[in-house]
Amino acid sequence: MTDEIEISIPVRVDYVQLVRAVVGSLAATNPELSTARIADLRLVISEALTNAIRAQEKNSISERLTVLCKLTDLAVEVEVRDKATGFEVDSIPDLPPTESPERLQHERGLGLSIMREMSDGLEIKSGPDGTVVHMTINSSNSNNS
Amino acid sequence: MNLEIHRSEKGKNVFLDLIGELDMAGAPVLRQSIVQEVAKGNIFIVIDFSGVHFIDSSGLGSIIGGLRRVRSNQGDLFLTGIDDELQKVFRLCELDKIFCMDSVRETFSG
Repeated sequence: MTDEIEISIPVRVDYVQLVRAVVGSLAATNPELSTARIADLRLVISEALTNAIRAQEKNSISERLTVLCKLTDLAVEVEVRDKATGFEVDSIPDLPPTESPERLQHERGLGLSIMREMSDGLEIKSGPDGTVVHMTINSSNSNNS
Repeated sequence: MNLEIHRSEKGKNVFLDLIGELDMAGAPVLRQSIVQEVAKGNIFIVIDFSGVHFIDSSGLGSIIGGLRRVRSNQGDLFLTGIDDELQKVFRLCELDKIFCMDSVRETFSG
């Protein structure tokens, strides 16, 4: 079984929930994917789209965002593409330790680590013409389900 | 509609019952609600997540900011009604170590 969809959305926060719902519904057609794994998928999609929207808003770029979702028996692959100016993946600073008072000064900075931990594969290609985030969620993953 | 907030009071605590999804769209709604409570002097806030079945890093950011606001005013922020899926995200981000959480809402009704 292979199903594939492509979604194009405006750079608006209220579309993130819609994409989560559509991709989650597609994933639910695969009986091999547990409810927990579909929840992981919805979460990583949300993180990638949030970053894409923030990046394009920061640079006042109104071009639509693209989400690709490919469903096979073994996995779901998702890809989020933006047209922002890119970033250095390795330049993202670590957050202060959780129990440090300084930690409460940081409301952002968790998205990338969530994508790393919740997905079974994360690849980010970023350059001056935009960023492509590709993630894989395997049907079975004993660590996350 | 991403996030709806129902407000009530019991004792010294203000309860904010969330209904919907706490993401990039819902986070500013919760952030604003907490800012308004602190401005009114309500610095002990209980957020009930019983009606929330999705949270991402934007949502987490809004409650981290809320915790900072109430604590800087000598108050505190408590969380209740967090289901297993949400609990997993809190644990992943190690936020279960800094928030006071209890599955029983009545714990905070004093």
